Amino acid sequence: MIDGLIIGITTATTPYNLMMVCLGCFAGTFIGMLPGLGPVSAVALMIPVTYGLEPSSGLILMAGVYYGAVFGGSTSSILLNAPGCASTVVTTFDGFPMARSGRAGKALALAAYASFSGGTIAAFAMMIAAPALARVSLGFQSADYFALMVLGLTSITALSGRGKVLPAIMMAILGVMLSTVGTDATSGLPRFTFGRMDLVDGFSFLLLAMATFALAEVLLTVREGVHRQKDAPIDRERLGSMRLSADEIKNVAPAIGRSSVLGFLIGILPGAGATIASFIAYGTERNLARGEAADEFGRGSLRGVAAPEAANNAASTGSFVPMLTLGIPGSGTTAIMLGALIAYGIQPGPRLLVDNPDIFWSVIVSMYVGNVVLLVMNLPLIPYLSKLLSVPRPILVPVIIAFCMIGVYLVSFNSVDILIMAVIAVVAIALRLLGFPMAPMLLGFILGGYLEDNLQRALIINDGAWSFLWERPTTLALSVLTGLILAWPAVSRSVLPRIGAGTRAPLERE
Amino acid sequence: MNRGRIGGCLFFLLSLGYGVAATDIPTLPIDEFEAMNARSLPFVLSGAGMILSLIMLVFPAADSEDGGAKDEVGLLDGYWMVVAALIATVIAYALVLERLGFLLSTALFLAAGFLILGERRWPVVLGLPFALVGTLWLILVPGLDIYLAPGSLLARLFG
Repeated sequence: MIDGLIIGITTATTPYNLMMVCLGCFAGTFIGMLPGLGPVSAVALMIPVTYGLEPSSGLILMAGVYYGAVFGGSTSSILLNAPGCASTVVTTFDGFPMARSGRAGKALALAAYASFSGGTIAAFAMMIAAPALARVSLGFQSADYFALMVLGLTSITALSGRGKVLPAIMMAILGVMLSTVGTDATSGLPRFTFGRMDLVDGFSFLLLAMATFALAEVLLTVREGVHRQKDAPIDRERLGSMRLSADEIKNVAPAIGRSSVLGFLIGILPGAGATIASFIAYGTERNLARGEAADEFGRGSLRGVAAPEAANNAASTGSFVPMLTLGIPGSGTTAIMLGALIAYGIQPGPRLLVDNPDIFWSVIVSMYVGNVVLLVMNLPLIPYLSKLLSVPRPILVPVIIAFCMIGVYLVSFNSVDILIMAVIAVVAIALRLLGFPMAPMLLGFILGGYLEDNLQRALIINDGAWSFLWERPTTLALSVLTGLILAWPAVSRSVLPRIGAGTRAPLERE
Repeated sequence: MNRGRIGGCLFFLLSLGYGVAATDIPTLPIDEFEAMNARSLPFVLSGAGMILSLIMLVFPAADSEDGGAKDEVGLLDGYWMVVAALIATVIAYALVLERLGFLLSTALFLAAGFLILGERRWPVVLGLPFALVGTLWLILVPGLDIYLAPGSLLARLFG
């Protein structure tokens, strides 16, 4: 581990990579501030930029954009009551009331310190957990990988939330369907190309990510009339003091500690992500609070801002663990990063630690650096970054769309890809409005190819018999876990309410 | 009409179409003896998609807290004409890009986008696109050494 850390520190602290961290944090904070564009969109928009960089630099940039966007999302949550991303929705519960009562600066500062703490604690935990998990998974064979891919797909669907499990499973299936377009890797035969040369290589990952998470998101904000809105300019008087007193720090410190650990543990579960972590952390702190402190929740409680902010940054860091060690993305954003790594020709998974230790450790070390950058650079810049929010939407929206199109064009220099992107964006908008989540589709697309390859290999090794699913202990364990996760939504609906009857009702905004 | 039912219907048709298209996938002679071939996964996906779609059609909000009461569709709400105009502009951009070249087509796209979204200051509509695209061109071509073709129509006109 020490050797790895030294490699990571050497790689991450080169002037070039430090510049990438700063750039990523800055760009991510700005993009994350824009309502409608969250970390997923921010990272998707960065992919074309990273294609010209070294893999470690590209990943460091994307990681910086990721947690910069999570931090930026909290800024618009607090100042405008318009969450920049799903994981900062909870921050509005107490952050906006604080802003309304003239304590916006304090709320922003607290969000920054809590995010820093959560991210740093999680980076430290990742330093220990990731290599351990990578060593365990080095013994995996094709059958185990197949079971792991199915587990990854199942968990992101099962943890999608109430009313979303069936749509999420269907979207995962759609993603796997899209991955079958092109040339079959084993036989070399064309599938679903309809005679078109443009489809022989299948859909590019960047095209899908841009279409579903950047272009579709921007068009949905236009549909909601964002181009008609005029936000009031944010100036220093409105922000107020950004200082925290010693008593306030003592009040929030335990909440930050608890939420950081909770967020990290939730983040490493594939599919859970920062949004669930922020909700659970808020609910936990609300349940733990007593007396006056409990009544403050929903009205401008410091813990109500600190807990979700610490948890969402910790979860964002934690979601890197399964991505780097198992090749299974922990969230939609890391799914995009996984696709970008594959485009570099690097296969995330247990071999990453052995074959590319510089990439593995430099990402972990860059998280420490990134958290410091967020605190040191972004906090003083908030009043100025906030002014950027007042760029008119009629200017900003076409620029973002142009960025999407240019990004896709620069990959293949084929304008047909822009047409395909437009079609996929239209389909994605329709599916979003019908309540279908996009992240499972992206995950299905990325994992679909590996799923098929590993299944085929496992069947060949096993002479065509499916007994590998229960003969290998690891495969059996993963299959059982898959079954349990699939059964979890039904269990949580029927059994848990009976167990929890009589306890305090969860998250209700007062 | 419930959102779940519309989604289920669409997915059923998609899965059915996918399954039908999968029958066109060619196979190798040796595939007869293999447990899995190029058609296997597509058939499984098609079957799974159809079954899940039917479940969604029959129980449109089976796992929803309120039984789907809040799922009534308001799909027609919003600035759809503006969205459609932007999408049409994207398609037009894709069609003219290789004829007019990167500079001109991107600048025209931005100008059209500004107008569609309500920007009416003519210096902004006419000047800003060229300024932005010019800056981007300088970064991409001389800066990053990426070749961007000037456009077939312009090449023919100006040699």
